[in-house]
Amino acid sequence: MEPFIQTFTNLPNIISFSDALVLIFGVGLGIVIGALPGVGPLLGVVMAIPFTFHMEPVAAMALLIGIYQGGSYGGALAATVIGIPGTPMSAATMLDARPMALNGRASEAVTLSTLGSTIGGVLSALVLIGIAPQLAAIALRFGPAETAMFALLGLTTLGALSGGSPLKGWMMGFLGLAIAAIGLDPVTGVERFTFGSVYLAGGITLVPLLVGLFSISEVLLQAESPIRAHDNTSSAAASLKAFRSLIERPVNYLRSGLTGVFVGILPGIGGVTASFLAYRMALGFRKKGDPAFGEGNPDGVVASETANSAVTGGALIPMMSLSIPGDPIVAVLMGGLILQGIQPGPQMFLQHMPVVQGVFAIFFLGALILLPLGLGFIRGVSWLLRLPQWGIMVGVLMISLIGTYAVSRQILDVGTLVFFGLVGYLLRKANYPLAPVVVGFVLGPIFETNFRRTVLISQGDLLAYLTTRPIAMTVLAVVAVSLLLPLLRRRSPATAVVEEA
Amino acid sequence: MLSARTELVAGLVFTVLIALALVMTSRIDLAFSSDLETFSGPRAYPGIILGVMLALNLAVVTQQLLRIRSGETGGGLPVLTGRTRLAAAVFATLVAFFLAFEPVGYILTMVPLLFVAALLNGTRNLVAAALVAVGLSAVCLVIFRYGLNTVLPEGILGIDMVF
Repeated sequence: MEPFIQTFTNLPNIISFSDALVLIFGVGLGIVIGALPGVGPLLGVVMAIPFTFHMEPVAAMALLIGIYQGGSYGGALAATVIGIPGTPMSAATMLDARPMALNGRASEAVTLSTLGSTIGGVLSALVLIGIAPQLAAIALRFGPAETAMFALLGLTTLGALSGGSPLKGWMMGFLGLAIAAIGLDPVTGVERFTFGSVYLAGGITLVPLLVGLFSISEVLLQAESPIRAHDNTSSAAASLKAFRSLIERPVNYLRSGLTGVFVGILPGIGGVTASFLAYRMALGFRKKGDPAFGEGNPDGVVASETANSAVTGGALIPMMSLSIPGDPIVAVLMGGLILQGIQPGPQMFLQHMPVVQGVFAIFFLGALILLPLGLGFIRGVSWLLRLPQWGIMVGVLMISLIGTYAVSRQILDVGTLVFFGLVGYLLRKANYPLAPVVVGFVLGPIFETNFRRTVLISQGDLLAYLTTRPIAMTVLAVVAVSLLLPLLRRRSPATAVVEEA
Repeated sequence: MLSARTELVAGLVFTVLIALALVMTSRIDLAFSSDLETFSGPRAYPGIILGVMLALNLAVVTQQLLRIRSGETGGGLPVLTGRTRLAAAVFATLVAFFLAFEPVGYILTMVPLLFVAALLNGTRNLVAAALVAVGLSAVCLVIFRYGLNTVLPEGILGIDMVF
């Protein structure tokens, strides 16, 4: 509790007014960057690194963490208004936020996303400040077996993201796994499905896949049959309705936030898993009178956004305590600290305590600032909804193409984007869900690499090895239960009666 | 809901594609020939994924066959409509952009792409489409080239000549 009390009692001494201004700028910039399909918070943080070189450590971290927090939230705006997840994490948000927007509840969906992001961020900040070293010690016990099992747990969400046909959901998830297998084998370096191409040997990257599947396919579909989001309610009424969710759905906020924090702590699993896992959990608790999940259920938006924002604080825990970056963005943040001459890890807590407290305070304030800034962006959303549809689509097309090109500066990434745009268009026409492709693609390499490492460590006796890893066995049991439970529920006569009613 | 026949065709196309991928999987080299390697090697993992995918796809195909057999062909949404050619035209424009982007340059490819996309997405106002195409391209150039320091292809015109 000591760091917790120290941080809050010394807040004015830890961060200056100018640090706070940098933080506000960072969060605002992050929201804009996160909302641009293909750009995302990773690119934003990378681009900001050179600007931090001449800044004080706390101000530098204020800019970087602000972009990270704002960017993690900003993806929800694009997902709601134009049906394109600005970041992979917001693919789960889109499942319900987009139908809400199409039903005239765009402002409500954005307010729910803002509230979820704020609560997730605050929750993870409190955990980060309060028990970072203790939680980091748990993360140290995670080896390849545990990581593989958690990735497997993430994959169990596939059937639930199908929008009606679990078989199709699973199939699309496996399509994502198959696409992720293109390139060099992660263990032996053998080429798979590369056709001798150096570009394909590097594997398909997430940005052209994600932007192609969602953005380009949306532009193609809109050209064919325009459909647009709108707002039937005033933003004040929508905000009031969304704020009521704090009283009506507190358990969802808490459950999703804790899920996000926990997944964030685990190195290499990340926000996509957290948002889909939280979404999957929310499926079991549909409120009476709410629309079905996938048709504009507020709990779907709350679960996904709270979890993916809570990941940000969780991910900082192993980085600051153990010098282990849990995801690529945190690795860049770690680089930002090293540029300042600060080596993350246990020594950081002894040698640079003011910076540690500064990061804690920035993170907490950043999560709070997200609320007014996010609500301010609702006006922007309303303005955007009044633009002609062709104008929005032209803007989406341009940002998608140049955003994708800017990440790697490879023209073949633009080709990949166009190709997956066509794939996404055809899949959507044939009624196949796209969200499971993202889950499979993100979790595939994590699962494969760690599972195969586990097999190698076990020297061929996988089962015997797993029995020596209680955390992995527990997660495996949860995987089994989550796969079997829907089948058992379907067979139960009592459930059938409830469903009929 | 899509018609059962449409979904059946989609399922059959998937079957062919997955089968082709499985054939390619069988040709992936093995790094080592030990038993351990064949269980978890570079060939086994994609093989398992594609095998499961094929099984899932066959289940989807069977579902559609049962729908057709029960007379439920569903007259739902047609996949190909008269407006599909608009989507096809946008796609063709994107392919042309991809091929011309680096050799011709940012300005001379982005402006025509956005202009054509605006027309294909429903506006009949040529002046508005042209203004939006030029305006957005210029804003994007400033943000990416001068704000984010991203080098965009200069091509035959050269970007610095514009500003």
